[in-house]
Amino acid sequence: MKLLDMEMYNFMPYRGKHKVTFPADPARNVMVVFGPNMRGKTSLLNAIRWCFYGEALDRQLNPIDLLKIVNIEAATEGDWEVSVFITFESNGHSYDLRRVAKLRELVDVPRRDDDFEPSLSMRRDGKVLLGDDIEHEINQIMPSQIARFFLFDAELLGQYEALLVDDSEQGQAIKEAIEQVLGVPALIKGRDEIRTLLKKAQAVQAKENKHVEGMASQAEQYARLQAEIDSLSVDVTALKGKDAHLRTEIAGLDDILASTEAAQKAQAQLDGLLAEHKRVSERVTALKEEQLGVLQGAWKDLLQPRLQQRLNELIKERDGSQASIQERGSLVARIDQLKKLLSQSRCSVCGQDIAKARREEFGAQLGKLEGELTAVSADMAKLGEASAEISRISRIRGVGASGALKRIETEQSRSAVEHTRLEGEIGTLRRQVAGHDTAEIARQRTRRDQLMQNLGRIQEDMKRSEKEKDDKVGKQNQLSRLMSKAPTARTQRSAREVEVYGVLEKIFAGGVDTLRDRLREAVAAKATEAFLKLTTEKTYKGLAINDSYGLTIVDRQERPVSVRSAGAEQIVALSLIDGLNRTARKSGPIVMDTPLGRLDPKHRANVLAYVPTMAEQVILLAHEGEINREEDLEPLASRIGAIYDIERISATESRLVREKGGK
Amino acid sequence: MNVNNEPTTIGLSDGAHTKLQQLKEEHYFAEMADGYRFAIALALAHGASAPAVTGGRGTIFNVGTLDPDRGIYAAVSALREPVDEPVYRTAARLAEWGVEELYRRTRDGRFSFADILSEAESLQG
Amino acid sequence: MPPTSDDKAIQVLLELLSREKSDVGAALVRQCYDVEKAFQYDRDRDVPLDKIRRLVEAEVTRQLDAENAKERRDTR
Repeated sequence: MKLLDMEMYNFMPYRGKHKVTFPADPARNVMVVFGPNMRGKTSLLNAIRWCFYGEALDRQLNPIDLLKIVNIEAATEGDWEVSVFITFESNGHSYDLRRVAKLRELVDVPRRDDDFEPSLSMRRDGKVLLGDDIEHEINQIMPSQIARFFLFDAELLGQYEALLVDDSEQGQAIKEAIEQVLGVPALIKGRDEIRTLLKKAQAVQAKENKHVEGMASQAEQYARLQAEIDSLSVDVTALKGKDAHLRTEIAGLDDILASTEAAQKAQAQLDGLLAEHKRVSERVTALKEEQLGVLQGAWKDLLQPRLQQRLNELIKERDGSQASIQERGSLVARIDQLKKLLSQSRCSVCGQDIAKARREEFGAQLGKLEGELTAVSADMAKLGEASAEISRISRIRGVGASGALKRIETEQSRSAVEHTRLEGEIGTLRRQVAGHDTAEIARQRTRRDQLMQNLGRIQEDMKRSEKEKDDKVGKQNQLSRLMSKAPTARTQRSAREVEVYGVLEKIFAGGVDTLRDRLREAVAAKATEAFLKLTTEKTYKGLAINDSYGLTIVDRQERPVSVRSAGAEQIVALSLIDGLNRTARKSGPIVMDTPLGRLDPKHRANVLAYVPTMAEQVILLAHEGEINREEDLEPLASRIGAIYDIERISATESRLVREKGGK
Repeated sequence: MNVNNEPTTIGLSDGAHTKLQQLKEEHYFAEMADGYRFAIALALAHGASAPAVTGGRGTIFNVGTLDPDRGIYAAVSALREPVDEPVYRTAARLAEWGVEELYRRTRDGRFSFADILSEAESLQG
Repeated sequence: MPPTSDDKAIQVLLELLSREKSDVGAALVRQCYDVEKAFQYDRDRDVPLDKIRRLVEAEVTRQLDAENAKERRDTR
């Protein structure tokens, strides 16, 4: 397929009419469109997509509403018509494809896509094709299923990486897309259709054999099996319906749960923190109670230092008093003794007269002692008071309040900090959870789990029923073969049809896996050829391919190179595209949107040198940061058929300008 | 029992009563009596010379209830400056000082009973 | 021009056919494959189904006619 020209009207940033003429000369098959980001390069890609398939896609590959496809400036002025016309050649025919969307009658300002009336027309070699045939015709030329490999934008790379994960859903989708490109569906659908026809032929055969001698019982068995298969098919259909319904419900719940995941996590955390908060609060209360208990007796501890001091004083006082009393007692005894001596003329011990001198000595001693006696006071009352006070003070015993209160206060302080921290976190989490009914979320989670269980059971039932069906179909095939061996079979039309369908079914079914393997090898070989021209790394041997068409770089020691940069991914993806293109049933122009962004200068040069060989027409949409006009395009100059620039008129309007000097 | 003319009840001025009540409501003490005893001890620990009590008698305790084992009596009597006054009357003056002091400290922000106790130890050197 | 996947597909089918002991000819296989090739991207399967059915009917008619003709020759 070769694009000739494209005319856009009010398409995305292109207000009014804009025309692009694609390079026709096979020797000059490269077209470059320069434009800064967000100016309209991807819109050119989308114009081609929209014209062929009625769909323009955003960066996430979601369809863009028609409302947003119509140029804003034109729409503001009431001109809501949008169209893209493309002329092209394919398989020796010339085509003119026109897609238009206009406002429906009586609609002034559209609010949704239904307010537009779309129309699609196609001429082949000047003859108008009927509406129903247009899609079929497009499918012969460039089916939408494979378009993504030729209308190639940098986003494809991210999807391609999913191929490396064999089981990913996205990887599976890309794998199917690649198989579409390679034409594997022709065998898969052929197998399925032939199987359907085989079944019908077998049913007719069984019906005819009811009346054939010796075959009636086989025919009956066949019919009975068919009834059972039909019943199982009904069951399977019902199960598939339930399966689909459950999946939809689960997907819906998943969306809700995903959107509330943060709230759920927050709720779980909140529950934990509330429990902790309760524990801390209880501890705080217990500490306070303990503190109040200690404080009942703490006044005694508070007094201990002073009381101790006073006690020491009193003890000193008491001891002093006791000493005085003892001394006094001893003095009194000695005085009495002396007085007694002086009252007698003779010594009571020896009976002799006491000498005068001796008597004078005793008198002097007595006087001295009496003098000492007056100096010693023996205040019993004071002693008694001191002792009593000592006793009273000693009874005021501390309760160990100091240590206890210190410990309690330390813990109170720690708990207060903890309390504050918890309250802060709880407040934050409460705000996160606010507006979410977490009980409802929990209910939905439980429901989802239950639905998953149901889904599991349904899938098992489906598997069982399919197996039962397969077993019965196998038995039917055996019966059919038996019936085909009957002598009457040679002339029986139905038997012949069964035989022919049987052979066709076998070769188409067997062909699927064989074709897949051969195509995969072919793709790997072609992709390797391309890769070796594109890469700058000389130690690489080539590319190895897995079941999902994921490509791995392999070095000269046949070891896989596991870590790949974004640039390397891009080179591998380009190699895959080229490999597919060369192996595929359908090849067409390649339109590459910003393909060189992640490449270093050397790789960029390699890609630019290789690009003209990748397809009959190659259209590069790039900005000047990716491709330098002077340096990068110079080696390519002889292959360039056209250069366009996208010029900015305003934020919502651009225009295409063909560079003078370009062909 | 009325020994040496000791009063049978003991109290605080209206102002001090309000403060002691507030301290109790703010859970510094379980009962006002606990605060009263602590206030007396605080005053004694600081060797405070307490002026005469004026301004009505807001709080009234029965001395038998306040001081069942006569510990307060013994402490005040042992530690007060010699004065010709019933012991419980001295105690009342000390309590007045102690309540004011406690109240002031609790309004200061960082209040700690443990600090009060260690302060008392350091006051005695 | 190197074989494209189109050619590979028919190659595979004919190889598998050669291993079968049957009267089904290469021509029928090509014809069936051409139908599927033309319609593999179409959503509506009624048309290719009908075309395959007609091809097989025609083949069976041809086979039966050939056998009848052979029988008539043999009985003469």
